[in-house]
Amino acid sequence: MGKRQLQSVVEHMRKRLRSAKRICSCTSPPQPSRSSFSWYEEDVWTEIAKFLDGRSLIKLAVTSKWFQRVIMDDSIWKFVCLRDLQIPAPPQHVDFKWFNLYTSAFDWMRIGAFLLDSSVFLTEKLSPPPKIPNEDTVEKMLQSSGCCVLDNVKSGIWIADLQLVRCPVCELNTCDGTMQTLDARHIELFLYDGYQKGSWEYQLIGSHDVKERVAGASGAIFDVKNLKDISSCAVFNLNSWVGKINDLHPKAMITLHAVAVNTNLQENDGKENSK
Amino acid sequence: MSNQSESPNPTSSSNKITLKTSDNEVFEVEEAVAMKFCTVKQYFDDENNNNVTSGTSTTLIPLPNVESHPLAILITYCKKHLEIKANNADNKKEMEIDMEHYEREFLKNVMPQELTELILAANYLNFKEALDFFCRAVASAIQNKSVEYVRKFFGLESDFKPGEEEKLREEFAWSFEGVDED
Repeated sequence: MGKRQLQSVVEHMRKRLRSAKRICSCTSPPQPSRSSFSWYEEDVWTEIAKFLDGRSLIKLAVTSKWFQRVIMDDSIWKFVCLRDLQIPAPPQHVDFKWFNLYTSAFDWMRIGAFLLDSSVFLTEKLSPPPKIPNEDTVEKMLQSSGCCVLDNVKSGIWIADLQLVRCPVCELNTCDGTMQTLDARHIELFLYDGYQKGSWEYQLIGSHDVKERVAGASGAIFDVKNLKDISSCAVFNLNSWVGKINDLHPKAMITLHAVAVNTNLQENDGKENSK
Repeated sequence: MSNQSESPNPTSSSNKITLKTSDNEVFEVEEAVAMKFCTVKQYFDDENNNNVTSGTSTTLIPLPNVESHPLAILITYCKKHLEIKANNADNKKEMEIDMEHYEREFLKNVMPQELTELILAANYLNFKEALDFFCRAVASAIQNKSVEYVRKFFGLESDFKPGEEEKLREEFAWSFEGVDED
């Protein structure tokens, strides 16, 4: 499994939404089918679908009832969803249709997807080796070391987004947001009733403020069981993905079991990093 | 013969295998070419295992689901594929460039309607490289094109009742933004 390195989060997201242009294109003018055979072969379309992006699949489905039935088959959307998230099929069962997961997964500033299947390690430090704190509560861990371990995390595919959030001080409508947040959610989250109706209760697990001057703001999420994996270690190879000192664009790194972001800060900027 | 390993170079293999299509045409192909068709390879291996004791080797392989027209094209494609591979055995990048060039030229001589036959044949023969190549060709022809273009491309007519298509377009509005020009 090669590491997936992101030069720029935004650029990468755009690339992913548009499936890569392939080597060839049939530019011959459309011609009516010969009558002796037909395109109505399900097997053919199951194969072709593997090379079409989601939006092209939908347009194909809207051409006729036959295509609607064949293309909306959920096995196609499972393939496409995992393909575009660049992740292998998780062993866990999903509670929703893959089509719905696909449509709910692709309209954010996407970093990528990763797999969790144990506890999770959150940290704001990207210097190796990762040290798991030994305090007894999450709050204490966060306060003392800026990192913590969370048990009881839903396993399966997680999606990581980088979001711009307006700062709480100025609520200008013209502002797109200046606070960067690493947002991670289970792929099924948006489809749960409780989430949609807003009936769930949420809990702030803690926060960690950095008072001293720092060169950059960063944060990472690791699957504890795979913390020592070679692929996860790639996150600590900062030279390979973090921007040069003057580059203030956010950068991200995602591997099969980890995700990290870093944004270099201008001098004199304070840093606020809450989790 | 049963122990002969697969050779990547068609010129070094003198063994011929005979394939018989559904329209009763007979093709004699080099073993290296035939072995790229996994369905044929499977059949061939099974036959050989069964014939070890008797010492005979019948290499006529029936292909009841493949017609001669797509098979001929697949054989040409496969031969070239092996040739390019053999010529660039130690340079993967060169090989990819040659392959890309060949595939681009190849598509110029293939009608869009032929692609479905080729995909079905490649699928049946379990010839992975060709299957991916043809599917990619169809996909890139309609990637992000309008519904009308796709219909015209495949010679389709809408069979939705009035209002049904509009409803679908509304439901999936996200996929109708920024369509490429025909």
